[in-house]
Amino acid sequence: MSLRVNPVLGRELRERMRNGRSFWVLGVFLGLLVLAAYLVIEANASINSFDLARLTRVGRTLFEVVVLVMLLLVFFFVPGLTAAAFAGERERQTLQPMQITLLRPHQLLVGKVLASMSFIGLLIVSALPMLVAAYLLGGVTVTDGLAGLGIVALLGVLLTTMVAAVSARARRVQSATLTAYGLTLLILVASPVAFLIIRTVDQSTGNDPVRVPSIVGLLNPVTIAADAVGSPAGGSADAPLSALKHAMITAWQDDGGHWAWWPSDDQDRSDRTDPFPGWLLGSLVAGGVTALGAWRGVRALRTPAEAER
Amino acid sequence: MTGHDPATISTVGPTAGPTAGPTANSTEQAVDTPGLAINTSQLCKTYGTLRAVDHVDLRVPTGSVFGLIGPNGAGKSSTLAMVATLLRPTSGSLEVMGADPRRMPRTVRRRMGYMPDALGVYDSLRVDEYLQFFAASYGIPRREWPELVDGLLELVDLGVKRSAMVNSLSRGMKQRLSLARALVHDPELLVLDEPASGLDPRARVELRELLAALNRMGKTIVISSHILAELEEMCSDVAIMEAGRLLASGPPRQIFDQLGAGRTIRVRFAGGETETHSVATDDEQAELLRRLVVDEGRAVVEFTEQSGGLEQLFLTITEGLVQ
Ligand SMILES: Nc1ncnc2c1ncn2[C@@H]1O[C@H](COP(=O)(O)OP(=O)(O)OP(=O)(O)O)[C@@H](O)[C@H]1O
Ligand SMILES: [Mg+2]
Repeated sequence: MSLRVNPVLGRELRERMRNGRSFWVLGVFLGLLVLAAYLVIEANASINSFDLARLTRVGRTLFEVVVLVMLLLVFFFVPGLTAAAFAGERERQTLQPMQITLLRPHQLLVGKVLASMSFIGLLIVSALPMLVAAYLLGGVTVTDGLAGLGIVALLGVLLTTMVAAVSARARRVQSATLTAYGLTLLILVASPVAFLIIRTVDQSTGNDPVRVPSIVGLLNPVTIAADAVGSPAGGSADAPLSALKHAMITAWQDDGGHWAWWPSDDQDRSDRTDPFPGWLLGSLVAGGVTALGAWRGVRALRTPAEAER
Repeated sequence: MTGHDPATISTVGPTAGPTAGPTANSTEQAVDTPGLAINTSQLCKTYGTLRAVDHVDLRVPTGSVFGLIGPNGAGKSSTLAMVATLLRPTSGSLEVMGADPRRMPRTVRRRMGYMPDALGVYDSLRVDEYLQFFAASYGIPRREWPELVDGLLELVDLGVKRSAMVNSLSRGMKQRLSLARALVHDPELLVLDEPASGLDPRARVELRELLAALNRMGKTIVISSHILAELEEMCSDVAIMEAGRLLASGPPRQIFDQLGAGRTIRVRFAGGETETHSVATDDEQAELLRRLVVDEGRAVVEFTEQSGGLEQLFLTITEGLVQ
């Protein structure tokens, strides 16, 4: 089975299964997720169960909170769980024996990423009951549910690959972990910060209305998830992803409707309510960056004898 | 002992191992020599300004047990890492089983097993799973694993530990497991970096026997050490390194004779009295024994060449460089 497909994956799965840390992480993950769900329910406890419209809104809110919290937790745990992938082997001096087998550098990276991915998969599956609860309350379709799980999985995989590549280039677990968390933080805040900076600059030059290239807002896992999962109508302010998507669309319409690379006003598309699939654009850019990182990581996994001919 | 010219010693050609036929004295720059498992020419490795390996011409005959000897920091590990496709030579040429590790690392990897001096082992893996992992990594079909793992564990005498966690093994056991790992793909060439360090005397003897058995199976073995007495018994050829330079290479006896280096004989007589004598050659040694027993009629109960004949040689040669 897995040992055949990719020996590194098989070995990692065995090790992780025996290693208590995985279950500890799973426990914390589920605990926090349940807590978030509980807070949503608790905040709406006064609802009369015959008020179907409101019940539906609670279902929607619960769903989006679960997806958002899941995404944030994955972004919180992935760096910690993946940063040691290669740096740890270097520290324990187990990397070289592996490098001189017939495994190719990209197989090493893929094995590590697949192992981390399967753990993310486990986390996502463990969150299913809460999504089912949201579904039963209403306001969520099966498609919504799949989109939510899919986008969390996709973003999780991209981040895992980036962090594994960071680990491949690091000498020590400690520096790999710091770099990985730094990178993750950057991924999370770069877009909002860039957005604010551009807007401020734009305002100070007297432009009105203020125009920020929409792509800037989409280079962020949370906005990508919001765009993929949120309903454009916005719904209640309680449903975080829909609220965010609504805000983005409003900004876009204020902007004259340009999901453009740069601000321009030669076209008016504000009549379209659901614009360009921004999540796809954002994911493609993220995928490109990840591919570049993975390429550099694979290069770092070659032995010095093979490298730089 | 002063200033032996290393050049005269290092021209000693490789000797025939069990499988190699008579080999010509290879003073010429051999390129693609079929009788050589490892052939380096002017091999250098520098770390910054430090010359860790300095113009080394190493010729390891196919089928030999080759000892690489040198004090700490001599450049043994660096040399072996270059052979093992792990380190890139700064300059010079290098051929392992006829292939350049820089250009054809996978060809070399297929035919060479390497045991590093550092023992890295995984945290939560069983001994048999550890070997299965490496079998898979060398692309060995799954159906062959059980027999392979059984055979290897038996070979290194770890059968009883097959279900134990790798990190629970003693140092000596880890060492043997590491050796088993190097053998997973049945390589023709075994490169062992200080395999005997940390082993108890019994384990050393066992390792020696194991390596002798592997050599009889036709494998060429390169082993580095600073435990000289050990290498002396098992190696058909040795090379002595210091400060990155190859000071001498060839069969131990040949180096001895070229140097005219003395050996020390320890004689014990009935009653417990002991004496030590210095001799230079086998003839002198035989003459000494004859004199003691026949001429002087003394009750010799023990007549041994001091272990450390090689040690003596080593000290002699390395001393020569310092002066
Ligand atoms: N990665 C490295 N970076 C810088 N210097 C190094 C590196 N590896 C080895 N050296 C230096 O190269 C020289 C040779 O080291 P090497 O490990 O090859 O010696 P050795 O003969 O194996 O020694 P020992 O018997 O202690 O194992 C030493 O002076 C060492 O400090
Ligand atoms: Mg060494």
